[in-house]
Amino acid sequence: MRLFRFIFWLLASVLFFFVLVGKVGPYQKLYLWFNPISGLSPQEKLPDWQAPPNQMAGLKSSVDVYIDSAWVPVIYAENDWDVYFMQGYLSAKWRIFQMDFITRFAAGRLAEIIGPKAVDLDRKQRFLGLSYAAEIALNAFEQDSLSKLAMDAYTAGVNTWLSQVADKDLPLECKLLQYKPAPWSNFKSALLLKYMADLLTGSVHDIQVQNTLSDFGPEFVGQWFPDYNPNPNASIDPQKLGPTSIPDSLKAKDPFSSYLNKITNFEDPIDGLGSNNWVLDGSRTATGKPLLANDPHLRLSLPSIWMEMHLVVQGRPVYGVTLPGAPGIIIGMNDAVAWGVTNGTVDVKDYLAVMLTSQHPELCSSGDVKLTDRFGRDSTIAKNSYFSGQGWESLSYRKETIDIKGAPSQSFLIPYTKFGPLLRETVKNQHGENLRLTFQWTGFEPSNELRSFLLLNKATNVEECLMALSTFKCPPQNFVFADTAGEIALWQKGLFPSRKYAMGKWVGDARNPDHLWQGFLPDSISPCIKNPKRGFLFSANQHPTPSPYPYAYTGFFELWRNQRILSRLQNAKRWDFQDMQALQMDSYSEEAATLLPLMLEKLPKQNSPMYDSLLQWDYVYRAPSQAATFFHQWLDEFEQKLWHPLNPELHEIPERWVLPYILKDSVGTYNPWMPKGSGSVSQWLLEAFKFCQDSLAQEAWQTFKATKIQHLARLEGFSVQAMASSGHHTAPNAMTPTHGPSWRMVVSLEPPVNARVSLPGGISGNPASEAYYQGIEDWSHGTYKMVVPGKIPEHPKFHWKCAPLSLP
Amino acid sequence: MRTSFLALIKWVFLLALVTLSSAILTKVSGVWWVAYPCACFAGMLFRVSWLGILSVGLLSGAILWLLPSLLWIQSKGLGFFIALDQSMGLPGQGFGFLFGTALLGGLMHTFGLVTGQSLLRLIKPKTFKKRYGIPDYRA
Repeated sequence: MRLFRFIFWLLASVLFFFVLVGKVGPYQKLYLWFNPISGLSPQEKLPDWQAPPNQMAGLKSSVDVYIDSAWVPVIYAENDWDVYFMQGYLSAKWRIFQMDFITRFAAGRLAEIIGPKAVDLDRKQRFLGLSYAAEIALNAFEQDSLSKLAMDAYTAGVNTWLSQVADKDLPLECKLLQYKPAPWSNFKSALLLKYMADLLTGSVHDIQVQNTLSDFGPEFVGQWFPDYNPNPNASIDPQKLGPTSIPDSLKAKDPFSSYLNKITNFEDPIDGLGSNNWVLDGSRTATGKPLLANDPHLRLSLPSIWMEMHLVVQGRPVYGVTLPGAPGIIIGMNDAVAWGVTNGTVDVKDYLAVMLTSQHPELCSSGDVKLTDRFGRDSTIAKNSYFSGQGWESLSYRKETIDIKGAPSQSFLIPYTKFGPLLRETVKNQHGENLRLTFQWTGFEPSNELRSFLLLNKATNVEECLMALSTFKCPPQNFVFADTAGEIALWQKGLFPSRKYAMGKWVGDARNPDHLWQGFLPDSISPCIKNPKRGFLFSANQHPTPSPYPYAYTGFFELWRNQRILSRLQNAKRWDFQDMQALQMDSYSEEAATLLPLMLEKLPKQNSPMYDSLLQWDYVYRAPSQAATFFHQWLDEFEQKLWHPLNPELHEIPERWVLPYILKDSVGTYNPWMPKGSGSVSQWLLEAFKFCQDSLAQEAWQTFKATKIQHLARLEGFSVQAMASSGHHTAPNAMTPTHGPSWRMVVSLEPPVNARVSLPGGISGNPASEAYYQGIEDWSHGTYKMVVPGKIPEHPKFHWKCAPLSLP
Repeated sequence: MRTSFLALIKWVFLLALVTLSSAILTKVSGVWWVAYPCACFAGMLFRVSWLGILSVGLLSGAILWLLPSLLWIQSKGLGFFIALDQSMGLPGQGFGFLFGTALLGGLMHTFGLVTGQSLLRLIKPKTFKKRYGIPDYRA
C-alpha cells in the first residue's frame, strides 16, 4: 500500500510536470509564463535599464551612453562604427520584438512563431515579393561603403545584445509566444526598409478603378477620375516647371482601348496614411532663421513605429527618430540642417494583366509546375510563358517555404514575370480571354535609400541634403530641408515611372506596349524647389505639381489639409515655435468649411438642436464637439446615397473635391450624378440628415472617433484605448481612430539648432517599463518637449560607459 | 495543548524550510523546477499530516512563485497585471495571472512534499515513534 502510494504520487508529479512543460488545450509550456525566474511577471529591476557590459568585443573605442531625463538615449562615440553598433545594441535591448515581428511579417514568416493561424497571412506576404525586393536592395546597400559599414555595425550591435541576453530578460511578447528572436542580419534591415516602402506605396486603387471602368464605362471614369482636381495647391511653384505640353512619345493612342472585365477578389489598398511638413524661411519667422515642421501620419502603435535617438560622433550630433531595425536617423536635425518627410503618394505600383501560353516550349525549362496560390489553393501552371508587350518571355519561379510552429512546413513556388510576382487572380478581357494579374513596382528596382538618410545625418547645408537624395527611389517622399545659413528646399524624390498618359490608374494589359512603363523619369525633371520667393514650402500629400504637367503620374492626393496649411502659411509673419505647434495641432477642417454651408443651403430648415449646432459649428474637430460627429456621419451617409450604384468594396468612389460642384448644381463636367433617374441632392441630404438624427447616437467627437494606440501584436491590455483627442484626417491635426501624427517636430535653425518634439510612446517596448506609455499624455494634449542636438544631458537617468574588449 | 503547539512548530518549521531553501536554491541555480526536489527532501524529514503537507506546499509554492509579482505590485501597483490578464484573455482583472502563478507554484511544492513524504513512509514507516518514543505529533 505504501509502495503504491509512493508510486502514485511520483506519477502524479510526473504528470504535473508534463502539464507544465507540455500542451494543455490551446496552451503549452505553462511554466514559461508562470515560473518566477523567467516568467511573465516583471522583475523589480527591469532589464531595460541594466547597464551594458563595461567591455564589449564589437566596439572599436569607448562609447558613452546617457539616458536623458525624457528617457531618450544619447550615444557619444568616436567613430561611425561604434555609434551604429551601439544604436543596434540599444535598439535590440528595447525593441527586439518589434524588429523581429515586423521583419517576420514583411517576409511572411510569422507562422514560425504563431503557428498555423498565420499561414494565410504569410502566404499573402510572400506574394508581395518583399524578400525579393530586399535582396535587390541589399545588394545595392552593400556595394556602398557607407551603407555597408552602418549595416554591419548595426547588425553586430543587435547580435551582441542577443548573445548576451538571458531568457528571463527577453521581451514579454517573446515570452508569451515562447520563442527567442533569431539573429539579426543586414538583410533584415533591408527588409524593414522595403516593408516601409510597401506601406507607403500601398495605396493602389488600380483594381477598383478597373472595376468602375468595367461597370460604368470610360466616360464615367474620365469624368469623375481626372488627373487633377481643380485646386491642387501643388507643392511646387508652376514657374519652376519645364515644358507644359505633353511629349508626343508619351501620348497613348486610346487608353481605354483594351480594358478588362471586373475583378472581384483582391486585397484592399493601404489607406489612411499621410503627413505634413512645411518650412518657413527667415522672412517669416521671429528669429530671422528658418523654422521647419514635420508630422508623419502613420498607424499609431505601441511601441511606437519610431524610436527617438540622439547620436553624437566626434562632436557632431544628429537627433530625431529612427525605425528600430535601421541605422541612423530617418527624420530629424543636426547642428546645421533639419529635414522632414511626407509621403509622395504617387502611384509607383501598377497592376498588369498577362496572358499565359504554352505555345513557346523553347522558353520553358520544365513542364507543368505545381503551385499554391496566395489563398492556399493548389493549382498547376502548364502555360509558363507570357507575352510582355515586346515579345514572349518565360516565367521564372521562386521557391518559398513556410515553416510552421507545431505543424509541417509548406513549400510552394511563386511564378515571377519580369515585372513582379504572378498573382492568382484571373480576369477576362473584352474578348473573353483569361488573363492573370501581376504587378510592377519601383521597389523592385535597385536603390539605396539608407545611404540618403546616412548622408542627411551628416549634411552641413541644404545643398548637401539635396545631393544626399541621389540614390533615394522608393517610396517617393516629399523632403523639406532648412539650414542654419537660412536656405530652404523641397524635393519630391523618388523613382517615377514614365507612362503613357492616363495609364497606371487601372489594370493595364501587358500585351499592349502603351500600357507598360516607358522607362523612368530623370531626376532633373522631378519636382524640386529651393528658396522660393513666397518664403515657405510645404507638402501635405497633395499634388506635387500643378496642372498641366508634362509627365503623367497618378496617385491618391490629399484635398483639404493642404488648403488649410497653405492659408495659414500665407499669413505667417514673425512665426515662432508656438505658431508652428498651433498649426500642427490645428483641427480646423477645410472640408467641413467648404461642404457644410453648401449642404445646409440645400437642406430644408430643420427644427432640431443638431441643425442649430451645425449652424453654429466653427468647423473645428474638437474633442467634445457633437456637431463634428454629426457632420462627419451626415456627410458619409449622404455620399453613400449619392454614389449608391457604386459599391465601395468593388469600385472607386470619386474623391470629395467633386462634392462642392455637385452641391452647387453646376452644369457641365460636374453635373449632378443622377443614377437612379429620380431623387435629388436635397432629398438625399434630407434623408441622410434624418437617418443620422434618428438612428445614430449623438456622441462627442472624441467618443465617436475613439483614437486608439494599439499594441503591435494587438495585445489589448497593452494598448491605449479611446483617447480623448481632437483632430480629423482633413485637418492639419490629422487624427483618425487608428492613425495620427506619429512624431511631431518643429525645428528652429537659429544656432544652436533647437527643437520642440512630441512622440506618442517611449523608448521601451516593455509594457512594464515607465518608458512604454511615456509621452502619450503630452502628445494628446499637444505638449512638446525641448531638445538641443549635441547638448549633454544635465540630469541623466543613467550614464553607461562601454569600452572595447581589451585582450589579455 | 502541547501536541497542538508542537504541531504548529513543526508546521512553521517546514514552511520556513521549504520556502527558504527553495528560494535560495532557485535564486542560486536559476532553475525554476529546483524547488521540487527541494520540497521532496523537506518532505522526507519527518511525518506530517496530509493537511499539513497540502497547506505548507500550497503556501510556500505560492509565496515563492508570487514573490516577484508581489514585489512589483508593492512598488508599481496592479496595473501591469490587469493589462496582462486582458492581453492573455484571462479573467480576474489582474488576479487571473496571479492566481495561476500561485496555483502552479503551490502545486509543484505540494507534489514535492507529498512525494517526499510518501517515500519517507515507504522506507521508514515508524521513524518518528521509534526514534523519539513518543506519538507522532502530526502537523
